[in-house]
Amino acid sequence: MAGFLDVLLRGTILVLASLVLGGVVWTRVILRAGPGAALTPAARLALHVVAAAAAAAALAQASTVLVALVELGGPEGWPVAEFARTTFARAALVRVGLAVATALLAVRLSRRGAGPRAWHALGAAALGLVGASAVLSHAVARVDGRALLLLLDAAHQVAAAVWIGGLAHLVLYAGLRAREVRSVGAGAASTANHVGGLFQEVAGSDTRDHAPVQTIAGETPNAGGEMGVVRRFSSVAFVAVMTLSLAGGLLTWRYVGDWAGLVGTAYGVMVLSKVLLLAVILALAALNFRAVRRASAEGRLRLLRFAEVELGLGVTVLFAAASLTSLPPAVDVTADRATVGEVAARFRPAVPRLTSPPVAELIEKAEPLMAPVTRREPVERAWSEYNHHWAGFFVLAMGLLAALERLGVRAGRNWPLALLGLAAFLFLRNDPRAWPLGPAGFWESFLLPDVLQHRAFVVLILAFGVFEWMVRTGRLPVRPWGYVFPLLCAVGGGLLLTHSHAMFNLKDEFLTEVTHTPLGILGAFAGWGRWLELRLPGAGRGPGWLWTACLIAVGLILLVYREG
Amino acid sequence: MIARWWRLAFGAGLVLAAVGPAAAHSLLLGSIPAAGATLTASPRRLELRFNNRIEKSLSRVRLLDARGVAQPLVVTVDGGPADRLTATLPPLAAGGWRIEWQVLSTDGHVVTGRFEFRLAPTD
Repeated sequence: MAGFLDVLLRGTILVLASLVLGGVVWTRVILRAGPGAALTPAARLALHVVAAAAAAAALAQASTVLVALVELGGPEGWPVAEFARTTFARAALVRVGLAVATALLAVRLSRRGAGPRAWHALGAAALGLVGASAVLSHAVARVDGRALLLLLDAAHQVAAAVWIGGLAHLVLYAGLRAREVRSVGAGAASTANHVGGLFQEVAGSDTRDHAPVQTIAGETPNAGGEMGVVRRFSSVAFVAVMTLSLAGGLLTWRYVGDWAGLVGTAYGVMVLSKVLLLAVILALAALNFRAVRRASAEGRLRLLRFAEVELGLGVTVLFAAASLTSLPPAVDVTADRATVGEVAARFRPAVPRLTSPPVAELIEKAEPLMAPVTRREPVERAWSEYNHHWAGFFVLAMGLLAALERLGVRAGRNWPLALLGLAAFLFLRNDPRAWPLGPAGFWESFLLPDVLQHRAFVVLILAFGVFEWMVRTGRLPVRPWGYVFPLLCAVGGGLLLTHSHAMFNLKDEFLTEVTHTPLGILGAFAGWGRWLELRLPGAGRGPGWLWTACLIAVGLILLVYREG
Repeated sequence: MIARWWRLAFGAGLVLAAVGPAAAHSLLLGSIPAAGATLTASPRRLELRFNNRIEKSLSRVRLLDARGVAQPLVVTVDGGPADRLTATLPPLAAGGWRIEWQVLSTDGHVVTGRFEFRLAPTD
């Protein structure tokens, strides 16, 4: 659990640090704010976001220190003095200081003008915050060749922060411009033309009662400026992507070592997942890049919606990167490496397990829930496979019903109700040693971290099912309740990528989880497909079929899940 | 009331952080005695070799006999390669022994592990 918490905190810090550095670059390079120039509302908003993200990053980084200290603590207390002398504690505390300094500088600059020194200090603190992350990565712990790895890691993280953080600020900027258009009023179109420009269509698309106000970039005083902003970001993002790809490629070469490591280790598979997600983001970015260069009217709304999806997938990639820090590099895993055949066997179709082993046998043979895992009994494997296979039936049914809904069968819209059945099934089966099947009582079992985690997931599934069913049957408005589905899917997919079963054997752990990785990726794709379906009606039926196909694929993968 | 909830939430977070197995970041690449080995003479020292640098002052090693009783062990904190942990072992009796270790890798991951070895009875 501590490992999972550590990964979540590290992922959160990556996201927040990206908002910080991406925001500083956005303010200085894209919006061209700086000494002597009056701050625009857009620059002020960016600085506020930088300040808030830096403050949150300081808090999250301090939490990682606390988590490690608690883990190291024993009956004699927390080893504070020794811990304070470690590389990790020192680097983490330096990052806390840099984050606090960045927050204070951003607040000051957003309130009143300042000279070049304050702006340079802001840039240096933000750069230091992100660059120092390398000192908390695999690079610092390597026995040989640390200097090069630290340099590559810092370059990789800085480039990712500029890109992903910049995307977040682009989306926020679009929101600000759209609000400005709405505040002028849809009726006063002539005034709006002087304010809205590029993002007027966005404002129109968010206001269901009004038809979008169509304007061509370049026809209004602001439109050229907005296109300039997007074009500058496009150029910065291009350089950032090139840098992070180059540095990432070299890091992969050093940490993975050979092709077998890419397929036969958890580290390698996570790298492949990152590459796949990155490829999809880059495909969307390439479409946007072309749209920006052409400045076509029909491409502008799509540009923003694609940017939202790029951002969402980018955040998933950052969490996958955080997950990588908790895994031993593939190049080190030589004894516990799986072969391609062993991995392929986990995806080979087989008859699903439809009968469950008796719960009494499981309770008798398995280790107590709180005891360290040292073995996995066949009965535990059978229990887990049965659970996965029935969950697969539920998800497959949902996907097929959703497909029927798309084909015009009205009853298919009730597919979210299958989630209620899935939630009830998981509640009963997830924790056989807890109430109602096992000896641990209902409230008592909440003290068990695994049970707590599983029940939280059950509540999420229930919420997902209820909200989506109410949206589909017209009981709740699509906005905002329709967003529960894509956001939960995206978050769930990200959590699956970062989730880790701690087992006694690296190879067993990897082979058990190797099917979780595609599930996580499909979850993220399903979520963002639905997001596009909601946010970009002009995209046609593609996004809707995408998430439907992802649901079906998730169901099929669960049906072939096996642990041995 | 709000402060109480915060304290409860914070406490729950710490409990969650403190329990459960650790992430598998630092990897035990080898050891002396080797995991699963059967020895004919009592080993004088223990050496654990990891895949990365570790913070030795915050590393712990326990030696337990077949009944699970811990035996005294002196871990060497200063000197030696950054990826190795060594300790002086007391004279061991014949039977099964277990090593339990916990290390902090330089990049901040706390990792635990254990392995067994046997000491064959002397004729």
